[in-house]
Amino acid sequence: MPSLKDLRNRITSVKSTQKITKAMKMVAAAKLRKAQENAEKGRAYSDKMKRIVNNLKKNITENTSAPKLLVGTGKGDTILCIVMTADRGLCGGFNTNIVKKSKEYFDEIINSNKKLKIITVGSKGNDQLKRIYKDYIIKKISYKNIKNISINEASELTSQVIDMYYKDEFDVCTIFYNKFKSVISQEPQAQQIIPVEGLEQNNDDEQIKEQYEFEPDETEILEYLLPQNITTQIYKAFLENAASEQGSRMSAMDNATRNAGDLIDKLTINYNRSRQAVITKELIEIISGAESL
Amino acid sequence: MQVDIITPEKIFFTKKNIPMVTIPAIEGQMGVLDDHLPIITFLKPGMIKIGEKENQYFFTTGGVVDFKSNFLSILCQEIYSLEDLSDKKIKELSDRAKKKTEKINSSDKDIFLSFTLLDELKALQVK
Repeated sequence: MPSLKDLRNRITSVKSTQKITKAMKMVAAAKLRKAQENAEKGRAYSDKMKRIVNNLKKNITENTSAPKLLVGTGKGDTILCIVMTADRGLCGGFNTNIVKKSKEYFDEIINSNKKLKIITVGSKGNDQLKRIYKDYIIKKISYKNIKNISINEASELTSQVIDMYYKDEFDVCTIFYNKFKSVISQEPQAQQIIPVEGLEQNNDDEQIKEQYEFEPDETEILEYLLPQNITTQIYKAFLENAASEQGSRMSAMDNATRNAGDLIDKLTINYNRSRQAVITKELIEIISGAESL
Repeated sequence: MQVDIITPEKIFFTKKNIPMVTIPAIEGQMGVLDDHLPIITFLKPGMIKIGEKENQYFFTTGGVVDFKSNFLSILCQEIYSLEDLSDKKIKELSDRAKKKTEKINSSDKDIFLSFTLLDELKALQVK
C-alpha cells in the first residue's frame, strides 16, 4: 500500500503530464488546420495536372516513341520504394502504420527475388526500418530543420529519383504515405509513380480526346510534363502526410489527456480512501486507548 | 474567358471575362483570345500578359497551359507579380538558372530553358 505522500506525488506528476499532452494537442490542432488548408489548396494543381497528363496519354498511339517515364523500362526487376514518415514521434500509429504497410510490400518483393531499394523520408521511418532492411536503404532524407516543406524539396527529390531512373538503377518506383481522410482516420497508401499509373479511363473523358491541339507534339509535352507530374505527386504526398501527422497527433494526444484524467480520478479516490483509513485508524487507536484506562 | 493561374501551393490568380492573354509558349509568344481552339502547350520562362488594354503582368519560370471551352488554366511551379520580383529574388533565380546550365547531365532542353530564363531576367533588370 503506497503511503499518502507517494499518492500525492503521483497525482501531481500525472497532472503535469496531462498539461503537456493537452498543450501538444492544442498545438497539433492549430497546425492541423493549416496543413489541411495547404492540402486542399494544393489539390487544384494536382487534379488539373492529372487531367492534362490523362489527355496526353490517350493521344499517344505508338508506344515506342513514348517517354520512358510513361511506359516504363519494360522490366520490373528493381523496385525503388520511397517511405515517407514524420520526423517526430508521439503521433499515435502514424509512423507505424506506414512502416507496416511498406514492410508487407518489401517482403513480397524480396520473396519474389526482385531487387529492393529504399529511400526513407523522415527520421522515424528510418529508425524503424533500419533494423531489418538496413542493407536496402540507399538514402535517408530528413526535413527536420525545414519548417514548411515547399515544392522545392519535392522537386529536389524528384530530380534525384529521375536521375537514378535514367541511369537504370530501378524500374518501378512506389511511394508510401498516409492519406488524410479525417482527423481520426488516416490511411496508409502505396502509390506507384514511375511508370505513371492510376490514370482512370472514364467514358466521359473520351469525348474530350479528339478536340485538343498540342503544341509541340504530345510526346514532347509529356517529356517536359512527366517529371513535373512526379514532383506534384510527391508534393501532394508531403502535404497529405503533414496533415495526417498533425491529425494523428491530435487524436493521440486527446486520448492521452483523457487517460491522464481517468488516472487522476482513480488516484484521487485511492488517496481519499487511504486518508480516511488513516483517520479511522487514529480514531480507533485513541478510543481503544481511552477504554483501556 | 476565365483565366486561372494555379501553383502547387494555391490558386494564384483567377478572373473572369478577360478578352486576351499573351503567354510565352515554347514555340513563341502566343495570344489567346476567346473561343480559341482547345490546346495544350507548355511555357518557357517569360511574361504572361493578361488583358488587352489594362494589362496585368506576371513572370513565370515555366509551366503548362490548358485551354478548353473558354477556360484557360496556367499551371506553373513559380510565378511572381512584378512587385514580388525584387533585385534579390532576380539574383536568386538567375543563380539557380546558371547552376543548371553548368550541370553536365542536364538535357539540351533544360539548358535551353535555363538560358531563356537568364535572358528574361536580364531584360527585367534593365527595366
